[in-house]
Amino acid sequence: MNSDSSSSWVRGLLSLFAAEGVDTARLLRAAQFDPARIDDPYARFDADEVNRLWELAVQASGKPALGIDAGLAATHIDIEGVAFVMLASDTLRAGLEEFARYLALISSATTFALAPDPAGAWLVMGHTGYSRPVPPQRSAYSLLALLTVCRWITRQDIRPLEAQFSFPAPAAAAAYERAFGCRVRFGCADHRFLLSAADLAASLPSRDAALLALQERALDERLASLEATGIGRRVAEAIVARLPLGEPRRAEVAQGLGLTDRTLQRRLQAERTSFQQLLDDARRSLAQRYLADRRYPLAQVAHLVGFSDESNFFRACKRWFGAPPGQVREAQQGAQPPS
Amino acid sequence: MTMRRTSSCSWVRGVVGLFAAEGVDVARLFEEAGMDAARLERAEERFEVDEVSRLWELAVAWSGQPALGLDRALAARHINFDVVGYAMLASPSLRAALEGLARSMAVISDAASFELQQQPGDECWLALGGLGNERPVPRQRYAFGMLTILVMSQWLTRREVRPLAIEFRFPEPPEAAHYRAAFGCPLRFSQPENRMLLAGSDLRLPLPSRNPGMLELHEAVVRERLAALGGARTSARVSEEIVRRLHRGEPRREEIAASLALADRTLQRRLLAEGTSFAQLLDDARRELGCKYLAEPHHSIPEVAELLGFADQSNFFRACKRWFGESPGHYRKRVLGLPGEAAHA
Repeated sequence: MNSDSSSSWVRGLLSLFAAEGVDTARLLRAAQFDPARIDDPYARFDADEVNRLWELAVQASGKPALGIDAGLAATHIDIEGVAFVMLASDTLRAGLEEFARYLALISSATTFALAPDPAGAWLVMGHTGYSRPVPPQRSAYSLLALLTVCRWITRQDIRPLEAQFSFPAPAAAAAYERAFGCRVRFGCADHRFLLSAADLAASLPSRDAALLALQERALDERLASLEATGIGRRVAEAIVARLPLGEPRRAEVAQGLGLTDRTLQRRLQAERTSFQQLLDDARRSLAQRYLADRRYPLAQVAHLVGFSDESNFFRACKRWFGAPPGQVREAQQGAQPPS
Repeated sequence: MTMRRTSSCSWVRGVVGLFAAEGVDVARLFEEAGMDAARLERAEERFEVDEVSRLWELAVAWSGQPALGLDRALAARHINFDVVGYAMLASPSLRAALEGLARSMAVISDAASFELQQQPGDECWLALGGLGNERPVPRQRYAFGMLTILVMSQWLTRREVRPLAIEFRFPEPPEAAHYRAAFGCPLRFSQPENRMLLAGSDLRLPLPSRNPGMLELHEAVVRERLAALGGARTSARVSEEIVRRLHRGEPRREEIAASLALADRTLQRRLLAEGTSFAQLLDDARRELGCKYLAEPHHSIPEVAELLGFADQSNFFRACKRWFGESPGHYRKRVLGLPGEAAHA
């Protein structure tokens, strides 16, 4: 599954940056973001895009402790429908378990775990799926946002017993202590903070078991459709991997993904695609690549894209490119500068 | 066919949680009120308005705090608007959330009414009305109700919302200093309504938790609950409108029909189908409010007549005779247990 964040989370970040004096229109231009994506409730943002946004915002604001302010975090965080299931939970601990269950709705580039400790539990957060290093401000803000949510749902000024970060102590370390309201240690193994057992057991004023069941059903659906958005890509990858062995069968690919054939069909349908379509797309883009490379004789290209005989490959090429393979190759060579 | 007015279990649980935080022994409180505390754990439970008033009276007496509940931090920690609070949370702006509250107040308590009164400028009054069954409603309930709306507004917007002014119907209480501390704005007492003035800039604040999907989900639950409470019935809606307008004089049927977006004839036909009539609902509403106001000694008898929308005193007297078999003055003495009347009830 791709690692990405919801547009509402990114919208919250942008309003936070704006409150810190950053010109967000300029920021979006610098990051080469299409502003329309921000307003699209179904848009998702890649882990590296979010990293880039933080880097630019820290730079533009000139504030090394950008976002590390409990008051600001409280006003700007937006954690999607996940806030609702947390509010309807019985206790803070149960709310955090809901958070773990639905975190992917906010961001699948973020990991969260409750790690037991004699004093209570550590709330551990991390980031995955990036190639660009995660700016320390981003890690700190995720953790602070979580603490803010804890305070908001319990309606109490929850104070961790200790907070830890993996990066070395920044110059603005005091801002961290102020925001978290506890001792902060740097250069540790994880990004995490420790809550007391009593705080975790705090019962929530808004608890409501009947509503929780309804909300969970709605979020489960969203989670399923989010996971399903990955399925088309995963099927396409599986197809590409199998093509040199001949035309892959749908049932085989389904089995390889741990799904029944029917489930696979249903989920592809939900994405408005089909196995046949993905197979055809995969063949076309592979054919294009192989035809551009003279090292592969035409007969071998037909085989590499999984056609058992050349005549089928010829017909497909005409459909895809309006010309037989030989002409496509000629045309591509002609269009390319001599190497 | 007077309807029994009730409050939701979640709301009462919040109030009781606040009492407990103020040092009130809740188990004893329920015992003393003759109520089963186990009801608090049943989500579907509804509490009669008079039961809630009884809990307030006892809690105020035991805590020795006439300003019980008037503490922003405490109220913020304990209030619970039930599913209505969730729908508010998912709304796009503070105004939209408060409009949702006005539509669905009955889920929290159908003894309370809430409306937004837009002013010519940019400001808007939020008016909180309330009805008991037989027992007078302690002033602490109104003050607390108003404070919860303020605190809820802050929680929703996650910002400091500052009312421009607050007015209460009851006269200035001895503990008025607590009111000033809790509300942090100019206060006026002995006014025609309980209401709070908010600035347009506050009402326009977008809610960070706005979420169209969750709004739809929770509004559907609200609609179900309203239907279950009978709020979907035309007669219940007409009664509410009557109560809302009575203090401005006897409401006309056409006017109420218009406010419910119904033709006058349609309104008549529907009420007939529900086995009632406009005149009947008007009389019921007056009687119900009459009981309440007569039990509140700070209203003079002529004032009560006016609040019930009677153009002259003699009509009010005749109505009282019909309702209670006695004059307003006699009725008042009897329910307040004042001397001069045999207490043989």
